[in-house]
Amino acid sequence: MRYFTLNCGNLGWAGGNSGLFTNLIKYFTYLTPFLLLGYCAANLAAQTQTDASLALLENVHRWSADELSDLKRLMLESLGPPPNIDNNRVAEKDGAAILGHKLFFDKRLSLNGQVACASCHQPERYFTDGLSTAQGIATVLRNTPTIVGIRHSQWFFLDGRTDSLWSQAMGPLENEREHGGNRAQYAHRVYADTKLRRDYEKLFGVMPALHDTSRFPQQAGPVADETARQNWQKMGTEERNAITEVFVNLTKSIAAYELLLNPSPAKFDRYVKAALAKDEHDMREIFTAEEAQGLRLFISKAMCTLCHNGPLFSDFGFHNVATPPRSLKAYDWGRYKGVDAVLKSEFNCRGVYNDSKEKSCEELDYIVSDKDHTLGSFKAPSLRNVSKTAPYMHAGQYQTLNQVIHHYNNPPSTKVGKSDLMDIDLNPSERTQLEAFLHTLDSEIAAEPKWLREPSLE
Amino acid sequence: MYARYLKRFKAHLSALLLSLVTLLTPSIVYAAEGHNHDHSSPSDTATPEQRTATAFSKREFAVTQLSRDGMYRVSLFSDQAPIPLKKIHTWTVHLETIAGDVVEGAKLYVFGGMPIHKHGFPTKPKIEQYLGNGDYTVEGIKFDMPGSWEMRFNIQDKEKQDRAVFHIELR
Repeated sequence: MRYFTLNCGNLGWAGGNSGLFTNLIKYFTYLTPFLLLGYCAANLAAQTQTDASLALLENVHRWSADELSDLKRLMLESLGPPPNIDNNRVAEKDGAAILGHKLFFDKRLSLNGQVACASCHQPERYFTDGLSTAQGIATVLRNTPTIVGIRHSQWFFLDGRTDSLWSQAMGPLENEREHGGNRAQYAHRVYADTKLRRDYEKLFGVMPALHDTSRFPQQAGPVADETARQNWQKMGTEERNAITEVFVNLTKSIAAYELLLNPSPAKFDRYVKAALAKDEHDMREIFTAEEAQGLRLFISKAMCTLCHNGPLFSDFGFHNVATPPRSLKAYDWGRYKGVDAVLKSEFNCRGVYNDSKEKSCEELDYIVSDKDHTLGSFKAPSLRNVSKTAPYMHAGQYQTLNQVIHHYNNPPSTKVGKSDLMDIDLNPSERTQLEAFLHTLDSEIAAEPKWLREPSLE
Repeated sequence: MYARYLKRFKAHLSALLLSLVTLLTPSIVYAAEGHNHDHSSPSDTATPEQRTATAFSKREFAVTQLSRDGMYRVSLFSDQAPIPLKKIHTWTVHLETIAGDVVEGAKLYVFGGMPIHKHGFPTKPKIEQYLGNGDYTVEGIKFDMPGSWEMRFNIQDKEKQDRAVFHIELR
């Protein structure tokens, strides 16, 4: 047994340092080849592992025919014509987009002269504001959604309480937390400005005689503000209709500008093009294995395409994803309230301000109003450029995509309504891959640069 | 002579043992880590439910079947070919007794959706008009994505009640 113990005598503890040194050299000489062998073996093991991973990931760029047709449906060039914009007779007029562009950036369209549409819909932030909930005159209760690509949605606001892009703009302009103004104020603003008035009258004809403030008070509208509301109630029907019509025309101009904001093709689209051409070399150049695997998860195991489908990665429908409420004191009922609001609105498809000759309002006729489907449901946003629109969910509950994916993987118990979520079980690598894929949806906005900055006021 | 080498070998056994540990440890560590590297493999997509009716190619649909309790012969036709996605459109349902007589004035209710995904239609379709000859319009149908859909009918005619389910595969 004494052979199995280190003979401390040989190490020279008793004999002095020189003895120890020589012995250490001796032992190292024996050890080194084994150390080298050990190092090589470990490397070989690692290499085999990597090779195995790579071998598996060799298939990551191989897509079945079914998968390819799924991918094709997600390509931007598969985007069909947008839904009917006949409800807005100036939607495609250059003059309307120019006027709308000016109005969009005009801070004077607010209670304190500090809030424009662009204050929350900031071009440099993909027309969002980087906040959990928006900040207008006061803190707003919901997250600012982007406007880019919004023309393809049938419903507007997170709860879809309007059914046209122009009527959406009326909301924030008269909401006391957002712009805090009123329609008479806005009409007067345009009337008093030579250039704005000229732009307006070219499109819509002569403005009403707003200089007569006995008939048209400076502040009037069906708003929360006491003075403005009382003035509004005292106005004659003719005068109220005239102001409302100006207001509607202004929002139709704003919509004409917003229709110009659409996403351009992303790296994802180039990848799918290469995949459809079966060009594996190109595919490997465009997407990493991680991104391709993330895409695969997106269309299969992670079930994202249940809601985030189509070329804009959204069905623009209403879904309950068990998001934790912004406030436990006042739940946001989402689409449940939105349905009521859009059906009652005088500015909906059935109203007199719809410019369409056909007036077929099928989306309203067949609207889903069942509480089971609408309570706690919000509109699924487009995922194109999603990396630029943090924070996420209807009240910006999540700061990062990582947190969002974690939520879908492990949703909390639903506090409002019934969750639409299916069970998915992504491991940490898969979650990383999915997140990597989402970044491949980044792109520019396909609009001339002038539309993405403050307008010239000429 | 060999005995001498053997003796030397035994003397340095401890050194050899140390080397073996050195040799093996990295491999052990890599092996352990290897279990944590989950190799994600492409998952299977959900298998569609068993179909009771076939969808024709080119996304046209014309199917006849018996109702669940055998009281009616129910036919469902898509009015448009190809069947559009993301657009509200109309279908026709035709109702006959098993004797072959058309059923007029029946109360029909339509609902459905994507059973695998556990969600309904993105719209609320309705049986809107009776066209005569046992034909009823199914209006407000909208498919917002391809996949396995179901259209379910509740049929009420005088005191009789029955139902029929049609499976529609959209690609």
